[in-house]
Amino acid sequence: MATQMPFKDFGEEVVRAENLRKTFTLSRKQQRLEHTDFARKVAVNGLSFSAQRGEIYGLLGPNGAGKTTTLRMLSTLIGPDSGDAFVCGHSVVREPQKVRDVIGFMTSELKLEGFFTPSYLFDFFGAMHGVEKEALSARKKELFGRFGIDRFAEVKVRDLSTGMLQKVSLVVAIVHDPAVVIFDEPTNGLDVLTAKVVTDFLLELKAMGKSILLSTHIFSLVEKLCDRVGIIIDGKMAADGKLTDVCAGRNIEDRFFEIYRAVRGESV
Amino acid sequence: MNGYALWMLTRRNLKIFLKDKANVFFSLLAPLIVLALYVLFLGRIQEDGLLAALEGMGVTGGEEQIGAFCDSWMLAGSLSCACITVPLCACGIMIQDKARGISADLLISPVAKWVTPAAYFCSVVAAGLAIGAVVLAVCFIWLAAAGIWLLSALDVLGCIAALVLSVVASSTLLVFVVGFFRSQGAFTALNIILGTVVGFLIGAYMPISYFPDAVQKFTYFIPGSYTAGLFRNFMMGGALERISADLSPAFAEGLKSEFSLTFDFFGAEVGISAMFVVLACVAVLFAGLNVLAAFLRGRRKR
Repeated sequence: MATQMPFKDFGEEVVRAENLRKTFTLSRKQQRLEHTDFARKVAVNGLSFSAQRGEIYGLLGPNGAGKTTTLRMLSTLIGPDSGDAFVCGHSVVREPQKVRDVIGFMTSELKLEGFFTPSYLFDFFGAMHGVEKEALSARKKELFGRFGIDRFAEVKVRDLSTGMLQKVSLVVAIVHDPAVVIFDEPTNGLDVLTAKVVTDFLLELKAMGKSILLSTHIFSLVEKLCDRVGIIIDGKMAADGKLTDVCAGRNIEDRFFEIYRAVRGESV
Repeated sequence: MNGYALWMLTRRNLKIFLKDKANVFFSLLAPLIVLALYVLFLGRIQEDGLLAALEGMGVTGGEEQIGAFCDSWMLAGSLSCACITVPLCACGIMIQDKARGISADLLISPVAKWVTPAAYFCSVVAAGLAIGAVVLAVCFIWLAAAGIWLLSALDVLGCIAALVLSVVASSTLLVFVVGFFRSQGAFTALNIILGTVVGFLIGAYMPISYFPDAVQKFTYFIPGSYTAGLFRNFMMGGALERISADLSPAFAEGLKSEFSLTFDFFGAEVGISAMFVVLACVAVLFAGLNVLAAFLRGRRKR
């Protein structure tokens, strides 16, 4: 499929990936780990899908399927070898700066220095995103109030509970009020309580009208959160659509393994 | 927007460095070791050696002048080490951010690509200047308290200029080198190795003239040698003049080359002006290399 020019009025389609392809060069150590003699690995192979405004889209797949690579391309951290993707109508290849203006990129890792306060971190990332001081102050009040951070705004991060820490980390990532939130493995490695903080946060973001794109290998997370799902296997889109359509009356786990068998020709 | 983001990011990097007390302490470890070794035995060895040499020339006395000269030599060495080790430790934030994924957060913010590396550089320079200024002040207090303040106003200004240029030069060089590091382990190894050998290479533990000829020539290619040369000229110049006036001009002249106040760079004498020029060239060269490296990294990422 030929890449089209970016569309000015992107309508309900907030993310559109068109034939994305990305290969990586493997070091000798990586080749050993991957049990392969090939020096290059195709991480994403002609991936196309679209995500709609106000919905949560989940990229579901096993480890190494290409989920994180896809999200990193969409967030302009790496460029595709070929193909293109449009976020709110902006090309990740030709207009990465504009894409960065409209996205928030999150991971479940905490990256906050212990001696800073939530208030300082919010202001810092606000400055990095060019948010005006008055708007920043209003947004801090709104988000800190909404997620119960206001009482801990001036408490040093190292003194916060894990759940509160996670909330601060998430709120800081949406300081610039992005239209699209991209979240790589939202609950990976988190305990059940903190994982609930994250999933509740995502539902809250959806209620705020945000469009969310997440990657996961956890079936229950897809069932709980996602409106649409794309199943990636070996860098290719094996199934894509509304969760109900993809599942076709079955649960996502059974459906995933059915698709996996059909694509790989083998059982897990 | 980019200017404000640069300011905020520089401040954040500087805060992270200064809040980590252990890091600040370790950045001053090499200068502190120079100081400790001097107080414990090096000072005595140097003083005794120089007094014996003076006696060999038929001059007796001179303990006060020689003591002032040796103290100044030690302080110049400590200050020179600080100009290298403090910026090196401040570079640690670059590695921390890479390891913790914060670099990615900064990369996807809509600020221009040059802002993040520029902020790292600015914070490394700021840390070097801030702590360097404290070390310089301690040196001045030492000289004044010991009653051996022999610096002119020009020497004080020279020390400040040398500090600024040395920190900028070593920061450009170190930011370039550390930019290639990915892991905390590799950076720690560099820190330990450089922290250990820097005192020897710039002649802080013992004069460079004590080393074999080949090693001496090697040290001429180390920018830190020119930093040390400048500080020695400004901090030891007064003490040397006093030795020349009170004891022996020939002895003072000999000390000038033995303690590397001037270098013989393959037959050409390198004086104060040339040392400033060398450091300025190092700063310009590595600033250019940093820009080139940032450009190439940006291309590779795409």
